[in-house]
Amino acid sequence: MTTTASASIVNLQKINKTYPKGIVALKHINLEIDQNEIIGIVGANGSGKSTLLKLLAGNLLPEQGSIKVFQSEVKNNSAQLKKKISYISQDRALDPEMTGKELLGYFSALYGLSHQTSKNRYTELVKTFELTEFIDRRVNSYSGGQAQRLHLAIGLIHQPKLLLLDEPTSALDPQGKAFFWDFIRSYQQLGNTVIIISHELDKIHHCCSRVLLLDKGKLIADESPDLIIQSHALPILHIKTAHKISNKQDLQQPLQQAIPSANIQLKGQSIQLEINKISDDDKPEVLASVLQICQEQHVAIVECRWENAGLENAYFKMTGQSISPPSGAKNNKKGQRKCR
Amino acid sequence: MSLNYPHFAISYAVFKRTWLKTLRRPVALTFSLVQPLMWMLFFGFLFQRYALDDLPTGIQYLDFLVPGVCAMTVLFGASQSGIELIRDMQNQFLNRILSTPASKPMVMAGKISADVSRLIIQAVLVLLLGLALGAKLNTAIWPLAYMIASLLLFGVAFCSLSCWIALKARSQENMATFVHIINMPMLFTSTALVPSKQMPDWLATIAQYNPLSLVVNISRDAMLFAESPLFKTSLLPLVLIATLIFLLAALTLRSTKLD
Repeated sequence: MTTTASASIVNLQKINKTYPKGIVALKHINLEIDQNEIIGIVGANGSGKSTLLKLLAGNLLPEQGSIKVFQSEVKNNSAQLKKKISYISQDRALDPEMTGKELLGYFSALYGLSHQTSKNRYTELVKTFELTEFIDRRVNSYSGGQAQRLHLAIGLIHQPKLLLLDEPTSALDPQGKAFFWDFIRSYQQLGNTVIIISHELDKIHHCCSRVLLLDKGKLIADESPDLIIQSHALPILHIKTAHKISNKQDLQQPLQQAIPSANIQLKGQSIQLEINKISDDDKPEVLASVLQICQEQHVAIVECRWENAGLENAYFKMTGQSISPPSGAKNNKKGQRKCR
Repeated sequence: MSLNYPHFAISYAVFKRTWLKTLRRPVALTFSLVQPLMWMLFFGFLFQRYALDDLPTGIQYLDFLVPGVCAMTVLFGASQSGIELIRDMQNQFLNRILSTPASKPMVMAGKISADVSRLIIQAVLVLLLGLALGAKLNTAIWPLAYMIASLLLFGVAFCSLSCWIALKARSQENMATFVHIINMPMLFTSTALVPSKQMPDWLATIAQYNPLSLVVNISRDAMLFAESPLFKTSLLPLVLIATLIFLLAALTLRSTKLD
């Protein structure tokens, strides 16, 4: 396969989706996606991410609006369309009583692959996803990561042109995650389109050409990750003090005067300055001013660090809520820099 | 459906998977043979001493019972057919199947043919057990073929019904209710265990229209008296019932909404 010129393959117009009991999942979504893109969908739990993906896959139908994928109405649910799409759900849809080899063979037949194509795809996928070691074992003996790799491999058996992935890395170890994101990039380079839901925002930032930000069913941003960060995220200076800050007014006032563009928060033993329009070159100067003011106010500092503007920061700014799951919080420190 | 699409490969893949899963549950497979054996032992020898009206001399109750137990084996086994679909729904596997371009009637055909072939093998084993217990039956090729044909059609109808109920019920509890509601009344309002002439009139009328009676009567006429069934009144109704219920199940699978 070769890389082809960009062309719109997904077109959503005025999509509304409501679940029973009046739960609004998506409101008035308009969207166009070109071929050969990697699109990241981010948002808090219940923001409508999975619903959007299921609508694109044709698993759900909207109450209103039109969804076209590869110029065909998804509601027609045609076999031709199904051959071009793969929706890989959060739940690992595997039969625990079958082996990986049997499952790959089973879905090859269901996708109508010829014997030779099926054989070639099997060899390729087993190699790519490193399944050799356990492919002949029944799925009920697999670890979470092994099952997830098989789950992904099955979803790719028919070489879909549009890959819809719902949190595909949730069960993978760090090595598996790194491998997965590399694979996604190489799959896109073959001319395919990937739409992915993930909480790994640093990976979304580096891999995706566009990010769709969903909040309570509304599409609040549809831009490149860099543009979102540039428009909405601000660097934060975190300072930890040795003791609880008692003289808040005495500290806040000079800090605000020294850095007028900062949003300053003083809480317990923490000072946070969210600073608008600051370049990396200006950071040492700002830091020096803050440290001097703290010294003048007899506030002993234990630690200080810059948190670079990132997608999470931007999302927080735009919605007022965090999107990273609690367990993932520790991993999101790459943009932080110790200055002690 | 496009003509060049490998429909039979789809049915074969589903057939193979269903059989693989059956063979990987040897305990369930063994127990499904124990139940008909117990019926033959308990009922067969319990009623062996009673004379059956209108039956030629020399025919014992066990001879009369064996074709009925063969049909009962298919009925009980077929009613469980949909349980596998519920398992597939619960672990999202059915969603994955439905999201493929595979023809859903061919998927259903693969599933039903695997279940029916298993039930036919079980019925033949029950027949052999009956013969081993002393039943005197006509085991020539045509009587056997008529019995198998009627059991096959009945199996298709009831496996399809079970799958249709499973697709609608979507839970094992609801499915179990169906099995209990259908199986016992179906058995006791048929001629599987007792000839209709020994039933009260109202029960004999019900038995006359019970599809299980139709199968039992075809099998019994063939295996006891070497009589061929009348196509119009015996096999045709079974063909129609099997076709209609299969289409109902296949179309329901096709219209099943993904989660």
